[in-house]
Amino acid sequence: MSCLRCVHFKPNSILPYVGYCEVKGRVESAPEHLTPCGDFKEASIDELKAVLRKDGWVYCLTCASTITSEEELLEHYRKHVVVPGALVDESVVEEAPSGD
Amino acid sequence: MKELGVLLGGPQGSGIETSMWILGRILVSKGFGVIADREYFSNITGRHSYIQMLVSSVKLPRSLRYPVEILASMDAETVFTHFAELSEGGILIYDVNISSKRIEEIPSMEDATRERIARVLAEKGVKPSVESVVDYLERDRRVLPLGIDFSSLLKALSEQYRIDSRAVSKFLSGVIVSSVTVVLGLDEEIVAAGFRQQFRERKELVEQNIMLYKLVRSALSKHYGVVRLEEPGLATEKVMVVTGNDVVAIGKIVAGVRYQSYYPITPAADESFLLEKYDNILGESGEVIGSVMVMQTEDEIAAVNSAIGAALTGVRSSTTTSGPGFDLMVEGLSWAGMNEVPIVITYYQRGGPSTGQPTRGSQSDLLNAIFAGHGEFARVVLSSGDHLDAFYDTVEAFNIAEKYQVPVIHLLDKFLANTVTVMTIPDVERVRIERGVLTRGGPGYKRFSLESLISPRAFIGGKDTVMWYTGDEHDEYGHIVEDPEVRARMYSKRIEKLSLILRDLPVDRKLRLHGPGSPDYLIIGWGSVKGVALDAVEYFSEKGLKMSYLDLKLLWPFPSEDFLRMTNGIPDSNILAVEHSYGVNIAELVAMNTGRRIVKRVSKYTGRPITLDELIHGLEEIVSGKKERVVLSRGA
Amino acid sequence: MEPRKGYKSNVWPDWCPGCGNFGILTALYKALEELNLDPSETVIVSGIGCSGKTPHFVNVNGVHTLHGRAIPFATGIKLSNPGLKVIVHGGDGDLLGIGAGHLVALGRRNIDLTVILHDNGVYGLTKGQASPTLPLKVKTKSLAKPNIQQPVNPVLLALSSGYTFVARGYAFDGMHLKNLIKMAVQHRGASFIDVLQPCVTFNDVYTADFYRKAVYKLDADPGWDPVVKTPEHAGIKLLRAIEKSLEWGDRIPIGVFYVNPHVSAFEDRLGERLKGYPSINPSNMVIEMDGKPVFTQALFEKVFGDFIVKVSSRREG
Repeated sequence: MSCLRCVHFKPNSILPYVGYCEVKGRVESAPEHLTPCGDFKEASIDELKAVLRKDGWVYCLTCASTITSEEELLEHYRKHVVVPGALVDESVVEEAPSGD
Repeated sequence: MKELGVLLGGPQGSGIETSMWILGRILVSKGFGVIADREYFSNITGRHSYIQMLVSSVKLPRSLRYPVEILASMDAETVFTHFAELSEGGILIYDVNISSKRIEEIPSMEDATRERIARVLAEKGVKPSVESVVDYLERDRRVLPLGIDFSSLLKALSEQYRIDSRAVSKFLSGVIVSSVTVVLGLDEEIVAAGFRQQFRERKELVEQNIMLYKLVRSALSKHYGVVRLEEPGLATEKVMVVTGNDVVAIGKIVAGVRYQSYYPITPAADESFLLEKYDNILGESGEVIGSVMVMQTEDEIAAVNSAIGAALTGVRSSTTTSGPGFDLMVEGLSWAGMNEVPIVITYYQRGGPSTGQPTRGSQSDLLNAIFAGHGEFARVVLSSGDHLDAFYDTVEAFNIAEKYQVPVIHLLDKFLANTVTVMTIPDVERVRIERGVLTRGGPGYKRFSLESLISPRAFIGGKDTVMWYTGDEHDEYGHIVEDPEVRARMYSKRIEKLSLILRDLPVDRKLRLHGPGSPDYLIIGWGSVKGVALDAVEYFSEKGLKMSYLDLKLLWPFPSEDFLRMTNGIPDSNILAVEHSYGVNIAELVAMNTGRRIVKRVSKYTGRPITLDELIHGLEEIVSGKKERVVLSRGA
Repeated sequence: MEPRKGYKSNVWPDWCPGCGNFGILTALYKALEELNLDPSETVIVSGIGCSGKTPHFVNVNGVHTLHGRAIPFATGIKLSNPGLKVIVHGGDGDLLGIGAGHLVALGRRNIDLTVILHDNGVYGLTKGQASPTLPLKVKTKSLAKPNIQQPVNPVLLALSSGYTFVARGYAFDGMHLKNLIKMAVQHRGASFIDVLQPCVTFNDVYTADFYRKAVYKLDADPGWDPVVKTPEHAGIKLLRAIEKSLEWGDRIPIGVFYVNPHVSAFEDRLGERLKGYPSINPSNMVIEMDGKPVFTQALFEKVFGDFIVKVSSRREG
């Protein structure tokens, strides 16, 4: 599922293998791209650090957790799937029951 | 089959709610009865949530039961969490793309839950992966596993339409609704109508969802209509589909409530949000016939006290809250009791103590609602067994508050608040608005006149009228008094109103007996126990065991005389109490007021509702003499 | 119209001889007289403590509420019947300690009512504990040890919370205080008056003698203009008011600190949502006719149509 390793892909937090591809400008589904497509660019540690500096956070898909520092990024990058961000779905606003 | 259990599961905020509403309305429009309980975490998004439904061809369902016949999962967590609740021969709908997911790979699952499920799987010799669970279900439980490729469906959809990357939930709900309706044999036209109703303003969503239906139907063509529900036989032309929060808000508008204050708290806030939508009520020709002022205050203390202030000016006012908020309102409650102010506090119980379980239900606050508040004064506590009762009881609460000039607590719970049900449309023309003894006041007006237990009430702002209110003991004008004789007369005046209330209220507003008057066993309960208890009573009656359910509606002042009369001839040992709490405190309340000792009790305090299967089992254990106290715990 | 006299009720005020509350009460009576307010349309709402008894001594509607909670009660009363003139009387413990949250909330809303703070530095009715306005290290005769808490500045708090009329008066300068009360009641929006009040029994530091020497009038300076003329100048005027509010000790300013008529009153904001508000309000709405609700079955099904589902008949099925 190469989209999950690509720097252009930001998964939707609800169905993590589906997300937005910035190059294609549309929703993509990772299982449909078992092998990398022509625009694939690996989300290397340097790419992710750059995103972290720009946006303030990146996302560890394995832990379903937000990363806000370089130390954390290095820790997770080694064994987990770290993506350059995650999208909060609109239904969260519409459907979230009050939780407190 | 006449009825069907369906469980929809997925991460919170993923389209599960939307699926429920679409599916629910489709089924209702076809004439089925539907009830749906929503279970969720104290979390905005990410944690697991599920909706358990019961669909019936023959009645308006009033309880839920396990196992379910259809389990529709959006994710792996749902499969692991609920697989054991799927019936033999049932249907599992799931996403093939998560087949390899293992239970350790689900960060949103709590460790305790994970360990428990892993243990169960190990005992059955099943590996902790989704595909192993699916295999097990197919092999050992004759379950029909319908694996759907969510990813290729999305690909097909996105070749035709522009999918919004932040609206994947709409796609997910489309897949869930389509797969369940295909399995039920519901055709495209009726499902499309459901999509149109839900996504009224968003045409592209309607089209996308209709396309999804076509795709899913094609993928599951072999299994179209594999679940055959009998043609629905309900006679109604139109019905209301509402949650408890909705129905109380509607009841308040009809009752004439024009001021509601609140502080956001689960599971009460939705009621105020709905009231805000009706801030201007339009009449027949579109003219404004009234407005509801809804104030979000800085805390619950301001909520209750501003509601009291509004009531002093003659407005029907109320506030709505849950346990932690109610505790903050207690001083205000005592002031309202002291000053004979008519207000209604709608109290939706949730798991306690303290923050407890904000999104789970309970009936643990019975004694809190009745006894909170220092000093002795008259208050009324009412409870409602189901949504339709809650509508009428809401109006009654205000009538009682104003007729007897007392604070009224309408004690409900999260189960009622959040459960979606189909109910008959209330008969509004039989509703009465009774405002009690009112007066214009005038010079020399005595707000607390001792000439009668209920002093004629004038409103602040009434012409040529001046009155005083104080939390201190007061004289007839409302000025502070410490004279012992006046103190004694005022104090007892307030409390003696309770006996007036007991005398005046018709019996069926106090308690209602469902079933034969001389049953073999009598079940007593209040609030959300009603539906499941009535179903249990029906079950046992069909088996030849005469059972009845006594629904206690007036919790305070406790209708001791009526209770004793109705239970006369039934020995203590044949009475059972059922409650969503640890102590089954209704039994303590009965003992305190009547001397009848109810030892046999069924309790549940996991925060999930009592289901019919476990209640029947629990009652069987008690009736057979195996146990005196049964604790239930089914449901994730 | 004939001016009303006699806003005195027939209840004996049981405050200590020499209590600053008597000065406040007299100023209040005079203000009500000069404004010629209709007692049946006037409400005094109080909290707990010596100042809490104020409503019983005035012949207008009185609501003597809970400690710290006068403002929420007043809010419910005023918003339900906006035609009423509502005046809150509270002590410093009441409004700045337990009730501080509500004090701030009222500033944010700018509801048209008046708050009069009886500021005496102690909790009188419970025997003289230090209150939120008693400065650090002060030891009154009722305290065993000097006070170890800093005071909060009521004028500064009111200014930062959004009150649009902020003033300070002195209990024993009755004429000056009466005028402040009149201005505050007539101002459309949330008004706040901090009234320095000697407590003859428990506070032997901030006495009438002390105040007489320290107090000076802001408008003795002809250049002092607390009124915001255009919304753009609100910031500057607020800063000037804040500066003045920080003066304490040997020289304490009294008078009007800040007036901003350009902030919308809460009632006007509600009027944008609720049709006809404030002239049509919760207290004058019709909610029943002959004991029946204003809804017919047909109207009910129309208004709540969103919740109604038509069941298709089996014939169409």
